[in-house]
This record gives sequence, structure tokens and C-alpha cells, in this order.
Amino acid sequence: MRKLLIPISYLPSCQQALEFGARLSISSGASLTVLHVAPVVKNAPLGHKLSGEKLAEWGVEPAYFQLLRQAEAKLNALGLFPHDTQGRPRAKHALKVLHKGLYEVHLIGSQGQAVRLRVSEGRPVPEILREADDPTYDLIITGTRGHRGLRRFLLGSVAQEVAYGAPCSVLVAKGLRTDQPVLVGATGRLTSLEAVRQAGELAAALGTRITVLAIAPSAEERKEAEDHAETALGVLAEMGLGADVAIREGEPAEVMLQEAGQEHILVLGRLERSRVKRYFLGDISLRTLERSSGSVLITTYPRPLGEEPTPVGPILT
Amino acid sequence: MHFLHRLAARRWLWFSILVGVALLLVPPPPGLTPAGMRALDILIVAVILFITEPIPLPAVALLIAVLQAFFALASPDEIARSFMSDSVFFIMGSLMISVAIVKQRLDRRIAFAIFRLSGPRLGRLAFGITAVSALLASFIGEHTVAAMMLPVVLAIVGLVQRDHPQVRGLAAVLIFSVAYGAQIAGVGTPSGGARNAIMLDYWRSLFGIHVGYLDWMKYAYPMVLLQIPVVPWLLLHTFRPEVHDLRRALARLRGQVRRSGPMSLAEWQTIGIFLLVLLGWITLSGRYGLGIVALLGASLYLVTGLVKWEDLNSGVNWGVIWLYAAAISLGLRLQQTGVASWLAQTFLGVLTPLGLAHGVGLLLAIVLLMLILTNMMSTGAAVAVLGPITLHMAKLAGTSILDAGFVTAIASGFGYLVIASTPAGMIAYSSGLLRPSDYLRAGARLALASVIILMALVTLYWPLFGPTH
Repeated sequence: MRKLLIPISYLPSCQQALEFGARLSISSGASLTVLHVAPVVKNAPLGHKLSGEKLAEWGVEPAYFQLLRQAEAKLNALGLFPHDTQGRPRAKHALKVLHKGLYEVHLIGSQGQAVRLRVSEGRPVPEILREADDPTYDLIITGTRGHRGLRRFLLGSVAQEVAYGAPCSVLVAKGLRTDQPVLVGATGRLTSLEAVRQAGELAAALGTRITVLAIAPSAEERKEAEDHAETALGVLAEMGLGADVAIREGEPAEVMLQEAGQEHILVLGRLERSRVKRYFLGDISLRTLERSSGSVLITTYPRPLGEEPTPVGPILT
Repeated sequence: MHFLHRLAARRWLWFSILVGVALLLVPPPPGLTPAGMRALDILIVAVILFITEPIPLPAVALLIAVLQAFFALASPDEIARSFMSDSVFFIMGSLMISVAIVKQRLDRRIAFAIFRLSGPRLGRLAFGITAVSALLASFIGEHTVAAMMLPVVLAIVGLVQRDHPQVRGLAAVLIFSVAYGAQIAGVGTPSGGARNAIMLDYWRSLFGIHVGYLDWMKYAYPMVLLQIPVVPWLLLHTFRPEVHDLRRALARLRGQVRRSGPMSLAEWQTIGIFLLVLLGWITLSGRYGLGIVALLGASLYLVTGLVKWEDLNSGVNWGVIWLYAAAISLGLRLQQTGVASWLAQTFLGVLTPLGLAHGVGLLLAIVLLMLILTNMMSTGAAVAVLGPITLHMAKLAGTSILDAGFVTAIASGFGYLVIASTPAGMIAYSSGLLRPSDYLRAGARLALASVIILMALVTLYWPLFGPTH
């Protein structure tokens, strides 16, 4: 892992995401960007610069300022920044002024990784996706409100839309902890092998157990499922990792959700479909994310620059 | 790649275009001319865009002008004229005056005066903040008070948080004291909010009724006074604050924001010019119009150097003025093309079987209609769009047009439930201390109380003024 993006808001699951990201960055040396998207006051008769000035006069900080400061304190408490011999943080600050009077803070982590705390103004999903457009990001860790059914339909889900639109892997936190075992589905497709590889990387960074789950839709296909599990184990063995294997029969999405429960971090490969196809045909991984009660990592197949996307097998959904 | 995402994000824009085109192809219903149908088309599309906001609202305002010309509803000169009137001057001038007042540090004086009068107990402080916010907002506008007083209460909350980290209830009580205090008062005088100027405009241009500054206050001000005690009482019972003694926080605030000695000349001048403007509104508006007096005030602030043009330029959201101008223009066009009376007739047809088609029943129906609409879109836009229709309903039903207009303007201020419906609500939400559900919890109770108070005024107080238009 090279670079993580953690969009945060006031949700408890965002704190889980932040803590998880910090630990991941400490163990893997990945760079970290913490992003908060602040809402803009629109259509007020008086310009919002004016009310900003008044707040400053009274020494009131904008709300996002506090949120980012708490985030920085949390990262420091987790040991992301180097300390001197007396145990005082030795973090290096640099301020970079952005447009619209906003600025971001740059710090250096204990392994030399870049840590950025930044604010942007606007609507969450487009702003997060704009940040994620930077091709060096390989993982977004996001919290979620966890609404389902009608409320999700009415209010939408930022996490869902980010997972849907992001060019890199997305981990959606629901009760996310760093000591959770990882469960990865093996389907034999290339996207699944990439999911297994990223699951391995995650388990190695966290130092937790990894389980390969292969599902046979019917008893006749059990042999095939065992082969898929075998291939996955091979990928993990190459990374120097061992894993548990579980072979189950049933409807894949149902079994996966049931096996993962809230205990595991479920890792699923996203089909390498264009957005047009995803829009019309959907994607089993995104639909599983919607229904899961635990954390889910949706992995993308990394596309090296200048190469065509790798063709994938038929769709099973 | 991002094309479909954009398509989905703009779904309401496409929907409104679809509706707009579809309505052009449908033959007009009986009682409506083809021109009326096209005006109704603009109205429906504009309302969809006002509510769902897929594009910036000022852009909707510009499109209202463009479409009027394309649909041959009026000549370009007529459209331009309908955009600008004394009411729009009044909205512009009042906002410029607001900026001049906010720029001064009068908020500090006001805050310390409240602290001295009410003491450090939360209950009395909430009452003091509500009362002062309301009384000020009724004259200088709710947005002005929200911009001045919200920083004060946020500073208090921040200082209390040093001792007690969990003060969400306290924060909600104090923030809503300002936000709702300002909001209930916006209707008190014509200068309290832009929607009042729009209503005055409709009375004058559609029905030839002139209402003066004091006449307005006679009808509407009791609404402000009766709601003042209700707000803090409801807030204290809804949010159950964690801390009641704010002695330490207030002492810290005094230490932090050092007293700047006696009132400065600039502060006296600011107050003096505003009082002059107020006097002008009360005595001269019949002759010169509210707008001209407001422009006089704004120019005095510029002449005396109390405010720089650059500050006015960045402090006023000119897009909001475009929005009101466009809404008024559309309202006039609805009247001209007969859409207003057609819609009024249609609505009355719906209300008749419910027994709400005349008198107090009709006024109650208007209140409920406004309550729903104002929680869905900007207050001023709600009055501008519905004003001509509710006034026509009253005319057709033989109910007082004056009462219907007041009820429309007053109920448009009941947007307590949704963050985006008022400026004060939005500034309060941007503090990050409130959740959307807080607005629903407090807002629903306050809305109920306000409707009851308003209906009490309609049935018990307004009849004292005798039969009106």
C-alpha cells in the first residue's frame, strides 16, 4: 500500500476508519490523507465570508477545524508521528494555503510518510472522488451511517457512492477494528485473485488471520470451488502467508454475508466493468456492501498505466 | 467515466427539463390561455428547481427572465421592468444596511448588555437572547441578527466545553435561541425580511392596496411578542441542557473579548443612521417608498465611510436579490396571464369539500400550505411564488385580501424544520454542533405553537381592525 485516503465526518465509524488507517500507515509506511468535506452555506442573503469574519472576531473556530485537530491528536496518540527522546511529538508542520481561504496541514510520519490533513468545501461525494482521482491512492477507508432500506434510498449513502465511483479500492467501516480477521471470497476470476492479494496485504499489515472462502452454488460445482480456493492459497503462499480455507455450498452473496458476519473484514473484488455497465448491470460486490452488517473492502483490479483493462470472465450475479 | 455520475447527480435538472417540455406539448386546460399555459410551465419548472436545487438558485432567476422572453410572455423591456421595483430596491438597500451594521462591533455591546440583564442562569439567558434577537431582528432583519449573534453563543458554547465536554443540549438551546429568535421576528415589520417587501409589492401592484410600515406592525408585531416566551420554554424542555450555571464561561468570555471602552463615534453613527432610516420608513415611505429610504441609508453609510463598497460587494449575496427579483417578476406574469386566478380557483375547488374555502378556514388552509412549502424552499421564493395565488383565493372567496397576505407572509416564516429553509438555520447548522434531527424535534413543536398563535390572532385580534379589503 502506498497511499491511503480517509474522508472523515462526525460519524463514530469515521473514527474507526481513522484509527484503522493510522495503524495501517504505521505498519506499512503508506502515506495518509485525512479529508473533511465541509458544507457550504448557500443562498444566505449575507455572504458567508461576512459571518466567517464575525466568528473569527469572537474566537470561534469553524467546526471542521476542531474535527481536523481532533484527528491530528488521534493520529499522534496512535504513534504515527515521531517523538524525541523526552517523548514529545516531533511532527513537522507545513501549512499550504488553498483557494477560498482554506489551508491544509502537512506532517511527516515516523517512517517518513507524508500525512496531510485537509478541508474542502462542497458536497461530500464529488469532493472525495475528486481527491481520489489522484492515481497514487490505492485505498479509501470511509465510515458510514449504515442506513438501510428506505432511509438509504431517501438520504443516499456517501460510502456507497464513493465505493461505486472510486478508481481505487474502498474499505467501508462498520465496527472496524485492526484485530479483525480477514475473509476473502475466491471465485477464480482475475478480480478475485487481486482481491486475495489485497486481502493478504491487509492481513500481513495487521498481523491477523486470513480465511479464503470458496462457494459452490451447487454440490456438483464443489470441485471447482476447491480449485479456486487452491489458487487463492497459492497467491497467498507466494506472499509468504498461510490461510484457513472454507468451502461452502449455497447462494454466493448469502453465504458470504453469513460467513463474514460482523467479525470479519470481508474482501470482495469489484468486477472490472465500465461505469456504464455497472450502472445498468450492477455489481455483486457493491450489492453485498449494501447488505453487510460488518466492514467490507471492495478491491479494484489495478490498471497499470498504458495497458488495456484485463478481460474478465462471464458475470455470475 | 464520470458522465453517468453527473447524469445521476443532475437527475432533478433533467426531470425539470422533461416536465417543462411535456407541459409545452399538452393543450391548456379549460380556463387557461396558451400564454397562461406557458407561464404556468415556467412556474412549475421554477418550483421544481427551487426545491431540488440541482443548479444554483441565481441561475434559476436568470432562466426565468430568458424563458419569459422566449415564450413571448412580455417584451424584453417589460421583463426588465418587472425585475426591478421599489421592493427590490428595498431588499438591496436593507442588505447593504445589514452589512454596515454587522461590520461594526455592536454585537459585543449587545451581548454584554444581555449578560448583565439576564445573569448566568441558562433559562434566563436563553430568554434574554431570544428576546433581544427577536426585537432586533424585527427591525434590522433576521439574517443580520443571525450573523451578529450566532458567533456570541458559539463562543459561549466553546468556553463551556472546556469544563464539560458533552454539552450538545446546551449548544442546541443557545444556538436555537438565536436562530429561532431571529426567525420568529422576521415578520414583525416590513424591514424584517425580504418576503415582507414582496408581499407589499403584490398588494400594491396587483390590488392597489397600500400598507404602511406602522400598519404592518399593527397586524404582525403581536406575533413576534407572543412567540418570544414560547421559544426558550420549548427549547429548554426539548433539549434538556447538561449545564445550567454559565458563570465561569461568561467570566472567561469577558476576559477574552476585552471591553473596548465607551461606545465609539462610529458605533453611535451606525445606530444613528439606522434610526434615521427607521424613521424614514415609518414617516416617508408613503411618499418615497421603502426602497428609496433604504438606499438613502445605504448611501449614508458609504458617505460617512462606515462601510467600504468592497465590503458591501462581498457581504451581500447579490444572487439572492436576483432570486427575489425573478420571483416577483414571475408573480406579476402569473397575474397578467390569468394563471394566478386560475390556480386560485383550482385550489378553492379542492378546499370547498373540506369546508376550508372561505373565511378562517381558508386562512388556515393557506397557513398549512405555506408551512409545507416554506420548509421545502427559500422563504422569500415561497411568498413570491404563492403570494399572487393566495391573494386571488381570498379575493374569489370574498375573504380579506389583507388578512390572506399577512397570513401568507407570516406562515412563510415557519420554516423551522429543515436546515436549508432559512439563512439563520443554515448558519447555525454550519457550526457543526447540531444534527438535522434537532431541527425536526424543536421545529415541529415550535411550528405547532406558531400555527396556534397565528390562528388566535386571526380569529381574536385582527377582527378588531374592522372589515378590510
